[in-house]
Amino acid sequence: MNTTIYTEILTWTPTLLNGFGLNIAISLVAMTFGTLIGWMLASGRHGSSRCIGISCNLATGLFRNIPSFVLMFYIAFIIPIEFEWQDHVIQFPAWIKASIALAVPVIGFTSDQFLYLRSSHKQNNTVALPMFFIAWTQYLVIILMASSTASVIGVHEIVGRANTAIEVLRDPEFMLWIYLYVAAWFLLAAMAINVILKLISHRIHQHYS
Amino acid sequence: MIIRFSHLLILFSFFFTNALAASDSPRLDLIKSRGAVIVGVKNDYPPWAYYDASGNLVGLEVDLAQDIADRLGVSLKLQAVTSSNRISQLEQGSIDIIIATMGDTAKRRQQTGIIEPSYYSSGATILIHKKSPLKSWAELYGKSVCLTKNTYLNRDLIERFLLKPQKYEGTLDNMAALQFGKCSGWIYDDTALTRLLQEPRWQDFKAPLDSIMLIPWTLAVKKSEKDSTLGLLVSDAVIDWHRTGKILALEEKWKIGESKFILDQNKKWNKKDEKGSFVCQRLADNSLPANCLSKKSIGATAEIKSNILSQWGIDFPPAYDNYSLHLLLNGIYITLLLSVVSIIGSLLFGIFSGIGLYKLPAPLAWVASRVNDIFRMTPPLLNLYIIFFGLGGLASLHYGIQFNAIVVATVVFSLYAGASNGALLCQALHAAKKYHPEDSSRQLFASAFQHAYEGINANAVNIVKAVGLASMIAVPELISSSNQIIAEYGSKLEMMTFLLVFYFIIVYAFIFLLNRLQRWVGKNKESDGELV
Repeated sequence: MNTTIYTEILTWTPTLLNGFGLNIAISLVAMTFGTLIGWMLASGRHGSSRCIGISCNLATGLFRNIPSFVLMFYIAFIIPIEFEWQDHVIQFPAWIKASIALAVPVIGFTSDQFLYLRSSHKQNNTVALPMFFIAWTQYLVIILMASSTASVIGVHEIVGRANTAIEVLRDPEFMLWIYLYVAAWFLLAAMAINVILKLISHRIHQHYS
Repeated sequence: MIIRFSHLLILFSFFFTNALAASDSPRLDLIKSRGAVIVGVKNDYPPWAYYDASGNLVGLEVDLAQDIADRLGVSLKLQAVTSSNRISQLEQGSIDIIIATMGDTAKRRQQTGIIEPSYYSSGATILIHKKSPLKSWAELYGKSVCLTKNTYLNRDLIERFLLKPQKYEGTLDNMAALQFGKCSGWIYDDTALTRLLQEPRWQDFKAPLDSIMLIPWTLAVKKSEKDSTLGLLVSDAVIDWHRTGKILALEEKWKIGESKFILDQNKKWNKKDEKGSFVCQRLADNSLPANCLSKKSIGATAEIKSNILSQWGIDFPPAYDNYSLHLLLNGIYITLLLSVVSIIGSLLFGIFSGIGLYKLPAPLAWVASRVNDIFRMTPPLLNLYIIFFGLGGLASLHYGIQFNAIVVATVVFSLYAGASNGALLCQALHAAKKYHPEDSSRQLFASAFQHAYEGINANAVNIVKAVGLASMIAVPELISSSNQIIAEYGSKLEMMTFLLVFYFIIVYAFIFLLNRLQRWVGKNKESDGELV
């Protein structure tokens, strides 16, 4: 790597990090809404009504098995860029579409996790809640990785911004380095989350043993 | 009796059409008695039809009009028309024929007598800098692209490629934006862009991709004259232009550059069967074989589209068009191939790295485990970019090596899921050793694999869900082929829904098969135990 590429990457770093903030925001929005709906589905699956139970089971299976990448394309194509409502033009930003698409697998995942949590809770399994938290955080890492695909529907997140930088500089060597640099940020974030998780689970083990 | 009757019918219709031939076209009679044919052409569309320095209408379409007049044996009178008045002028009778850069659309087919086959075709193409690595339309998804303001193509382009548009007024603005890297390329009408590229100031740019969103251009006669002698004569003229290469010659004369459409047409209309007669020629009922017409005009023909789906208002191109069916099936094949090969690859890499991580001495294992983490904890999309565009770009620049996209995708998916498999296996091996320290390494591995199977299974399913990412490096898998069909036919909702349903089914199918495999392996193991 020569010095010009090094300085170019430094100049682009603030832009890229702002983009990475968007990745994190999209992931958190997807996790929050996905978890809420997943919780509702799990309650339905566990509830007294058989009819609701079956439909919640079906919905969980559906959400669990739809690839988020295909769904992202689907949502981007089907939901218009903007629409009129009572004489107002309402914009539908791409990052919301990406969040919706990423929330869907979260629904499937958390619905299963909540169901498992409930049954363990009934057996007085005290480690169940911390275990749920650990699994949830590991899934957050998966969703953070998947948020990179939002660039293909026009979200200006970190990969999208790296592509802009590549357009401006048009240097094949720079292209390789900036992609590696972006990958390093994802790796760093994932590792940071894992280290925090390890510390917490260590604490939990100490607490319960 | 039946045979005789049908003979009679043929005989009758033969006389009937022959008798009509002289007078079935009042327009043709008028042209002959007037001694001139009036053709509507544009006057502001160089080099198709425009005023030259001395104020005469000239251009490629004017030459075509002259050819029609020669065939009719009359003189040519040109009348300037615009896009908004050409059809009404034709139907009112102030002109006889339209040759005015008119696109073939379903609406115009209702309004006027569209002549088949189409004589030209325009579409959208992209102008990029010579250094740009762009190799396929799929790479444009979500990118910033320059567009010319108020062009009819824009809306469709933005929606189909989910572009972040930068709209500029004219040629100069777009050129500046391209030079400063404000956009990946400039998408505009291909006939205009290929002409620009001949100018010296555009020598740093290229237009390497095939045009998309093709609209066939068509001649037209009055609607009531479409199937008359006049309509047939004009249609035969167009076929003749394609066979003899007249339009190819005119493209050279007017410096437009060979268009792929015209080359294809030239081949198509000259193709012969084993008996030596043309494959594409007029049938007994004066119609033309459907596979000889351009795809878009087939799309506009309601009769061919009529199938079970279309009764419900569903426009699913693979149901009525062989070409898109072929595209779709090929996409499905590549998707399945990529899934299966990557799953096998991820298993092999998983076993290799799992045993490696387990057996290696502590400091080396730590390093290997961090390397393994890199594959697990970086987005596969980014890894595809790094290997295909990053390393691939440098390899082709310095060594002239071209990376194969399918191989790159297989390697990336195998490593991504394989690294997770490796971590799972290593953990399971350690656990097995802890509980059965006296077991042979073979037994340890078998029980560890059994324990890790659920996770390995989930990783395999994740591969199937992720293979669509390969469309971003132009692997012609299902998402790519669906997008191509959408780009040509515009059946957005139908194709996308098909894609979603297909993926849902295929993921379920893989889950089912993998569970079966697990049970089968489990059973075999039990019977092994009995034997021992």
